[in-house]
Amino acid sequence: MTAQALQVSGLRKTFKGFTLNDVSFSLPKGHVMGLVGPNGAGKTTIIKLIMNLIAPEAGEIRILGLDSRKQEAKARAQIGFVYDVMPFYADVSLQDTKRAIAPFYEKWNEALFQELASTFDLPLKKKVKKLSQGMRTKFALALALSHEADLLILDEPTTGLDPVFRRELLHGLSDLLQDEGKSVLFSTHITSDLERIADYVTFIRDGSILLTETREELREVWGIVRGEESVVSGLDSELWRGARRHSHGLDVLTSDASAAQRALGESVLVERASFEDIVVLLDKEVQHV
Amino acid sequence: MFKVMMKDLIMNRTALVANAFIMAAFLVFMASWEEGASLGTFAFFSGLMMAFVPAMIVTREDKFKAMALGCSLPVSRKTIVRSRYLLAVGLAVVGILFALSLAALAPTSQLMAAELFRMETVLRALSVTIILIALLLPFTLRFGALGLILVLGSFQVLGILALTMVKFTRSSADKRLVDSIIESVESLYARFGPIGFDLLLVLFLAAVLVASYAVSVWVFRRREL
Repeated sequence: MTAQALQVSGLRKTFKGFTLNDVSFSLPKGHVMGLVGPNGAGKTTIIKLIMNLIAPEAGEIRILGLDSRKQEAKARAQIGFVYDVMPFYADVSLQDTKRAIAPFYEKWNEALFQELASTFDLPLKKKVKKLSQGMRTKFALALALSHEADLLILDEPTTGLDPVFRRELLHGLSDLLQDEGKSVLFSTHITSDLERIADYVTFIRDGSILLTETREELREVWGIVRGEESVVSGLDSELWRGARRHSHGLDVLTSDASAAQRALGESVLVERASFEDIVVLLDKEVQHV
Repeated sequence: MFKVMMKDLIMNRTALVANAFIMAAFLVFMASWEEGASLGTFAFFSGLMMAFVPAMIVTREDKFKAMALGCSLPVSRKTIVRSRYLLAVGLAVVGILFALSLAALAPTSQLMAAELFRMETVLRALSVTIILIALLLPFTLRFGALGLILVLGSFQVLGILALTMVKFTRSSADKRLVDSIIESVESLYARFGPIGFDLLLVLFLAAVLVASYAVSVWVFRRREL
């Protein structure tokens, strides 16, 4: 039995004007990983590769120990998948869509589906085209959760959802993880979502993984040094992970807030870095002035 | 495999029923057309219409960008292709029998019921369907609706080119080609007799389907969604 829900190693995929380059990360069982990055960073490409919707040029993906390409059907039976663009037949009702999909899963739990449909207020007799984007996401979630998948892969699941349901969804995912076997990989560009539930955060930009770290590590160790350029630029370059110049001085992202504070003294403000700070500043041109 | 076929039937139920009504109206009209109703034409058009049913299933999937849904279910792409072929052949057989029954039962029909259900008529219609399915499915599975347009467009272009060539070169190559095909078929018929010829035809259709299936699996496995 593997301890990893998902292992991605050396993944490469090239499109015109974009390369996903040597992507590797792993998600331990029973944890939530947020895949975060700006639009076009490669989040959806990674998820499509995991789901075998596109083929990699190099690399390997193992889903609960199963090879995603050689054992594709078995591997996908373990996954609950929510798409960024919902690929449902617009002129078919939710009820019929469920009826077509449910038989594919041995562990389909009809009672759970009905419960989720009721919780999400899903109008099962309506056609998909009559639903808002948020309702379609809820429907996709109900389908993904109803076959008791061990790994949930959610591509931008909170996009298009109202704040109330977004919070409910994130709480729901946390509850889901009370069952220790379940794992979640979700991509987002909404960093506040990650702060709520992610155990691990993987930052991606321009097709490359910048960093994979635990939430605690990022919260407790990483920091933002704010101050006048002349003072802040005295920080040891090894502690710099990115910087932004503005009218009042310089913001420097550091991977060791305590060391930065010790090096610069009490006169300089070192704050906890939010995930948004990390997304914005990480690996941004470090300019020593 | 049965699950994929059921999924396709459920997702396309309304479109299939709507098409069945339109086809039924056309087939009854054709069978009742006093000047034009002939067994051969009826069998040809029945087969032609049925060939577009599986293509419709794939192009509808493409229209709703729902191929990602099918390909993210716990089933291999090879199984999806195999199911599509089985469903296509199944629908073709049912559709042709439905067409022949309509022509036999329609009170205004000019066609004789006894002639309609001869093996020769059924096989003639089935041949048209199978050959077209074998041609259309690899393209529609690879390119979706664009694949259908590509095949039909290519036929148009080939037809125009052939006619232009014949006109300018004053050649009778087109006629000779058709005649040689007919002669070959007739000589096979004479050589093997009706039963042997029918068996040979079934074997040929099966081989065409298997070859098309192999191509479809190859292209569909490489399709990026």
